[in-house]
Amino acid sequence: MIKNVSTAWTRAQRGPVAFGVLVLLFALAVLLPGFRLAGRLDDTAAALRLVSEQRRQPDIVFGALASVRDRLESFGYVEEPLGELRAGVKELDGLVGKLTADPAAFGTFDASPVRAVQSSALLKVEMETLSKSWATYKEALAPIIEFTGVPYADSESSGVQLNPAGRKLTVEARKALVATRKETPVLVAATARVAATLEADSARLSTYLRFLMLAALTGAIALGVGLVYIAVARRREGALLVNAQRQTADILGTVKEGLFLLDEKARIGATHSASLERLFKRSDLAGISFEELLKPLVPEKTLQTAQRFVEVLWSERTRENLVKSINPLQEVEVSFDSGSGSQETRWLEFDFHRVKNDSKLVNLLVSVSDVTPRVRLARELAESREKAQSQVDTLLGVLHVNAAQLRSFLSDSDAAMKMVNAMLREPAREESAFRRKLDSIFRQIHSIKGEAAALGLGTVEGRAHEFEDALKELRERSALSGGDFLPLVVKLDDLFTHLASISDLVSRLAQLNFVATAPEAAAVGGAEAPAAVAPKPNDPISETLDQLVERVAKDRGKSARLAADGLGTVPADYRRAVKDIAVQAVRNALVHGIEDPEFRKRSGKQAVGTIKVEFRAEGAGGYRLIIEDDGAGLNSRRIREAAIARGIVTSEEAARLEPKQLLSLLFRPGFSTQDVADEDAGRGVGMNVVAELVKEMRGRIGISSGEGRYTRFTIVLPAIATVAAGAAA
Amino acid sequence: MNAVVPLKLMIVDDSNIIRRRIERSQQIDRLRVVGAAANGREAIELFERTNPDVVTMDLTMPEMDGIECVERLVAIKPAVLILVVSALADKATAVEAIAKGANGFLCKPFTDRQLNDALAELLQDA
Repeated sequence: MIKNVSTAWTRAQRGPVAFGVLVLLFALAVLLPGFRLAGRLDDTAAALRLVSEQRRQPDIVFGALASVRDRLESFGYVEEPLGELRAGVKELDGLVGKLTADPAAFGTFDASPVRAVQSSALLKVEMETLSKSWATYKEALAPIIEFTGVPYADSESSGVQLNPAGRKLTVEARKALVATRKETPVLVAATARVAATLEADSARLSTYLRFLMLAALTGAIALGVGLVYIAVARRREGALLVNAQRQTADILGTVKEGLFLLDEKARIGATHSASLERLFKRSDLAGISFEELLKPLVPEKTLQTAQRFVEVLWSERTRENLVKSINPLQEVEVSFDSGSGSQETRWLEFDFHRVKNDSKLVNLLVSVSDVTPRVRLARELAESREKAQSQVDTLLGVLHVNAAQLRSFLSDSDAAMKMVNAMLREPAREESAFRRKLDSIFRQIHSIKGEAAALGLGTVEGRAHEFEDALKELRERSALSGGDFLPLVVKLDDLFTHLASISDLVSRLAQLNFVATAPEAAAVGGAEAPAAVAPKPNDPISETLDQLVERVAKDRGKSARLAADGLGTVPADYRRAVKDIAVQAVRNALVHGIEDPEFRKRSGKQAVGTIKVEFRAEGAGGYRLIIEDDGAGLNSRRIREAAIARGIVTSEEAARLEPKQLLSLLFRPGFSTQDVADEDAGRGVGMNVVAELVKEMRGRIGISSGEGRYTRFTIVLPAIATVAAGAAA
Repeated sequence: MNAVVPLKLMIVDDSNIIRRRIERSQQIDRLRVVGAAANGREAIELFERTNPDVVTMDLTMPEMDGIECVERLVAIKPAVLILVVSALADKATAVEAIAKGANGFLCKPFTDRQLNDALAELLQDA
């Protein structure tokens, strides 16, 4: 399109130039011969005038001669005819002289009779005849013209007589008359012929001139028509050009893509599509560099790659296909300031085309489109695919879990989630408040993770683990603000939604009878439990702990059994806390307490370790929970080292601690003897959670250990009424 | 267009996987593997010894930066055809390699078909 317009332009300019040259040539072609013709016509007219004037002169001369003789014979006054004769001769002399003189004597622009004679062969011949005839004539007249004095002698005796000179003159006059009588007609005829030839020449030249004028008129009309044609053509081309420009403007104004040209210096051309301004939210695009366009929108690294890419495009060595495949701006994330300080993220697709003119690269055409909806859709698709996969995993997980345990877990988790949500909303201003909030949230999530692990719900456990990671990252920051908690809301929502989808799944499975609706109906998971484990207490806490022991023992290559007692009698208000405490303590016992089966055998112990969990009511409405394992016991050296390594105490402080105080370090936040965190231990939250839970319930916790023999946690809980009051505080 | 004399091919990759896949490619009729190098330093040595016409090069190699290697190979033999293999996410490296004189780009992971197409396109210039 652009190319067509430019050729129209050159054609429109070439026309008038050619026309001008044509006009000039035409003028020369007409004017030069015209000028020459006019000159010749002028010469001929001058010669004709001359000849016509002198045409009667021979007769006059002859008459004067006759008159001279007559006067002499009658003794009349001879001077008068002599004078006429002399004048006539002079005139004819003049005529012949003018018609035969050197043409150079006349100026270029003067009319020159002699030029008229010389330009015609016929006239030259006639003039020769005329000159010759005149020469003869003049010779005959010479003695008479030359006569001076008086021809008469006056005497008394004889009166007036011719004197000798007079007599001689009379003889000469008679002789001349004889000669000229014969020559006069010749001279007259020659003069007439010259005149006639000049007239014919004049007529011919006039005709030529007329023809020339006619031709000039025709040419002028043709040029006029040509001029009109060119004017019309130019107007039409002008209209086409305007139309083409309008169409280009229409295209650029309407097209959805941002279109612009980049020149060799990577500058944006003067014209671009209207969409470009909308896409980049700025209007000062013409003439700015590609760098200026991208700099505010993309990271430095992307900008550099893009600039390098544009350089590669300019080197024509690389093929278009190859260049397209390495386009770093194929799907680029850009962020705009959307006024109120917030950022708006969009995805743009840049496409580059080489623009060639006569096979020379002149520009890059860049088209930019907003592919945000496409990218979002692709992401949603990927997410939903992932979600579908995770639902399958969840389903498989759920199918293996005892229904009663699952329901208990779901309701407990639901409560925990609500609590976390409430904590996140709770206003806090000081750093210490933020830290407390973080710790509380951590405990809740950690317990959900523990239970999920115990039930083998990997998808829940994974999400809770991610949540913990996010929390841990926040804990490690030196300064906290309210804004740091925002990402947690997203994670909480994710976990919450996931738990809700499990609930939904469970109720749908219940309809299909995959999962029993009542505790007495045997669950799929329950049916598959090892038969070796003796009479199974039918309470959810024991079952959770059973599964936990089985799974963690397997993961760690250990062998252990759970000896639960009285867990079915836990009051409903304590159930959750007791379960959380037991899960944490049992896991600790398995990870840190129970030794490898080989090691146990070598130490003279039974290969299978035992973890005892006892719950019983005590006087005054209180309760006692005991968790005891027959493992390695607590190693005070390792506890000290770990506490120092984690910065819980300094080495001087640790050295001063008594054994009992040393053991209490286990309950401090952040304590762990494990170096790398996994799902079972290592974050340094385990026993701290237990201690916090006990504290919340206004209970007490005691620890005792025999190195190489056992570790025992004894938790004393107050009567229920006291707890309600404490929880409300 | 098919060359009667097969072109000499050098493979630069720290795993043998690409080598085996190239040997399975349909384009192998037009190529003769003259050697394989596991890193940039070896690649330069081998290149000088065997003078290959075509090189496939993984840009993520130890010892020498892949970009630098491309640059040095092109300096030794400007007419060499180089196919760089790189991760999709790393467009910056690909762009730089092309700017330095590589002739083709294949992003990891790739299918046999993509490998075949990339080689065929590269050999168009031969």
